[in-house]
Amino acid sequence: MNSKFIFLLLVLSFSPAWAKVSVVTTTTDLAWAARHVGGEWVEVRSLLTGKENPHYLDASPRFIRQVADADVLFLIGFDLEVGWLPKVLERSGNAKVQRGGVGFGETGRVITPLQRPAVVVDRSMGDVHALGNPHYWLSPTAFGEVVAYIGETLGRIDPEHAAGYLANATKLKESLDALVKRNLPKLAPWKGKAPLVIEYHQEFIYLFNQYGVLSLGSIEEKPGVLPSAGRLARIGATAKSAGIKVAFTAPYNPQDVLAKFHELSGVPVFTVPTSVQSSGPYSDYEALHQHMVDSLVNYLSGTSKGNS
Amino acid sequence: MPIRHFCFGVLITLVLGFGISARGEINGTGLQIAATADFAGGFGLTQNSGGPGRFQIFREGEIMAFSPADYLFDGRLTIAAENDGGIIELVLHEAILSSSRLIPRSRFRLGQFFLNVGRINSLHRHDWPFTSTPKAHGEIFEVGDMEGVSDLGFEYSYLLPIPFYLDLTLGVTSGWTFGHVHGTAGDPPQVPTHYGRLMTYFDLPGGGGAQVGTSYLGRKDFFGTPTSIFGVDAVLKWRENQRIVWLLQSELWYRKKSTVGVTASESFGGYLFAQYGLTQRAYAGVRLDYYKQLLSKDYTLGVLPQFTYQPSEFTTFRASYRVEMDFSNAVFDRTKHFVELQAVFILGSHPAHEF
Repeated sequence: MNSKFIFLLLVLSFSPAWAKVSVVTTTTDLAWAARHVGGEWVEVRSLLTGKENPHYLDASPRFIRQVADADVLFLIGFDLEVGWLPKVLERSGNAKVQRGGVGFGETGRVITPLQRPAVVVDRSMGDVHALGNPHYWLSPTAFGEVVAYIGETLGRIDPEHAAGYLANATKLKESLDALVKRNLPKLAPWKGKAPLVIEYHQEFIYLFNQYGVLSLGSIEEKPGVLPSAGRLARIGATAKSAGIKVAFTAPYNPQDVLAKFHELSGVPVFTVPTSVQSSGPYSDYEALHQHMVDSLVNYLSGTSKGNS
Repeated sequence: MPIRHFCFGVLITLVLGFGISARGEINGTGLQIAATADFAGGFGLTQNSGGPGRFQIFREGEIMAFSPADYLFDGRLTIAAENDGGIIELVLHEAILSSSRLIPRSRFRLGQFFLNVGRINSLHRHDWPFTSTPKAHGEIFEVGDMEGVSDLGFEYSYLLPIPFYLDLTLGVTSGWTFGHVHGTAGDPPQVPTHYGRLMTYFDLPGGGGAQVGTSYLGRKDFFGTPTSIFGVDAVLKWRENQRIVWLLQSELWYRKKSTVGVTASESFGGYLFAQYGLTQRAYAGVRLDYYKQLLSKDYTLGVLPQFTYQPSEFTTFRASYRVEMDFSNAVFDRTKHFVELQAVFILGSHPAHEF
C-alpha cells in the first residue's frame, strides 16, 4: 500500500518530456502575451483574474499550488507584487521560478519606468513605488518590449521552439506597434496640451504618456491612502477650474470617493479595467486598449460627458 | 535586565541593523531588516481580575534580519525583547537556516523557530488578529499569556503533487523545554517534541478562501510524562482590495498528559474569532474562548469584543474588552473583566504575510 502511494507520488512529480512548457503569470495581461508568444507549445495560467488590485492580495495557497508546477513565471516587477508574491514563491518550493532561477521572468527589467522617484522615498509618502510606476502594460510600446522579453525567455527555457517564440513575439510586437500607430492621429489634437484628464491612482499614466496626453495627476494625495474630505474638496475645485474632461479609474478603487469627487467637481468618472479580463469583450489586450483610447477621445472631444 | 539597558541595546541594534541593511542593498546581498514594537497591556476592572495597576505598556520589541544566505539557503535572525511578567528579557526568538530551493515542492527549516502547528503558533504575536493569547492556547501549549511554542529543531514541509492544495509538515525539536521558554533550561526528554501538520485550501463563493489544517504534537519529558496534542484550525477570509471584509478564524485543541502514577489529565478548548471590516481602516471583531479540564467539571468561557484601527499594514491600534467566566464543578464561580490596549508599528522590510 505504502509503496503504491510512493510510486504514485513519484509519477505525479515528474512531467513527461513532451509536456508543454508550464507558464504562470501574475497578471492577465502577461498571460495574454504569453499565450500569443507561446502558442501551442505552452500552457498558460494567470494567478489574477483581471478584477483584483494587484497591489493588495494575500499569498493565497491557490497561487502557491499553481506556482509549484510552473516552468516559468512572468511577473510585472517594480515591487507591484511585493506584498504577496515572495511568500508564494517561497512556499511553492519551486527553485526554477524563484529569483535567480532560470524561469524567473521579471518583465519590468526591460522597461524604463515612469515616475521613478528622484528623491529618497519613505512610507510617510504613502505606497510610493521606489523603483518607478509599475503600471507599464497600459503602454503598447512598453508592453511590446515585454512581449519580446517573453519570447526570449521562453526560447531559453524551450530551445527547440525558440525560433517559433521569436517569430510569434515579433508578430505580436508589430501588432501592438500598429495599434499605437492607428490611434496616434485620434489623440493628436490633445497631444502636449494643458492637462484635461485626471486619475484616481496614477495607473493610467503610461496610457496617457503613450499619446502625449498630459494628466493633472491623481485624486489620491498619497498613493494607496484614501483621500481626506479636504483633499477631495481641493482637488475637486482644482479639476473644475482646470476644465478637466474626465477622471479615469479602475473598478477596484473606492467608488464612493469617486462619486463625491464627481459631485464636487462635475468631472465625469470613467471606470475601466486596467487589465485584460478572463472573459467578456475585454479579454483581449488590444480590444481593451482600443476601448480606453476611444473613450478618452470621446471625453476629450465632449462626445461623452457622463459617468461610465 | 534594566529597561535602560534594553533601550540602549535596541537603539544600537537598530542603528547597526539599518546601517547593515542599507549597505547590504548596495552590495547586492539582499539583506533586509524589519523592526517591530508591540505595546500591549491589560488591566483588570475588578479585584477578581487582579484589580487596577497591572497595566504593562511594553510587551515586545523585535529586530529581524533576513536574506538569502547563498544560492541555496535563506537565513533569518530575530532578536526580541519581551516583557515577561514585568521583567524585560532580550532573547533569541528565531535563528533559522531554511531553503525552498533545494528539493522540489519542499521547504525546510533548521534552527530555533516557532513550531508550525495550528494557526497562531507559527505567527509572531504582532501579526495575530487579536491582542491576548487565547485561554486554550495558553493552557494546552503551556505558554501562558506569551506567544507560541518555539524550540530548536528541524522541520520539513512538502506540497503534495495532487490537483488540490495539500501541504504536509513534519518536525522534530529538542524537547528539552516545552512552551515559550527562553534560555537553555530544561532536561533531556525521553522522546523529543515531534509534530505534524496537514493543511489544505479551497476557494469560497464571493471571492473568499478557506485554509484548513490539522495538527498533532507529541513528546515525553525527562520524567516519562507523555503529552499528546491534537488540533484543527481554520481561516476563512474575504478580501476586497485593502479591506478584509470578513475574517473567521478558529482553532480547537485536545491534550492528553499522563503523569506516571497519576490519572491522565485531558483538556479541550479553543477559540472562534470573527472580524468584519467596517472600512479599509477600521475593523470590529469578537472572540469566543472555551477551555475545559475534561476529567473535572471546571471550565472557562471568554468573550472578547474588540475594535481595531489600522491606517496601514504597518501600524495597528486595538482596544479589547475581555470577560472571562470561570465555572467550578459546573457551577458559576466568578467573572473577570479586563481592558486590553495594543499599538503595533513595523519599520523596514517586513516579510510578506501568510494567507
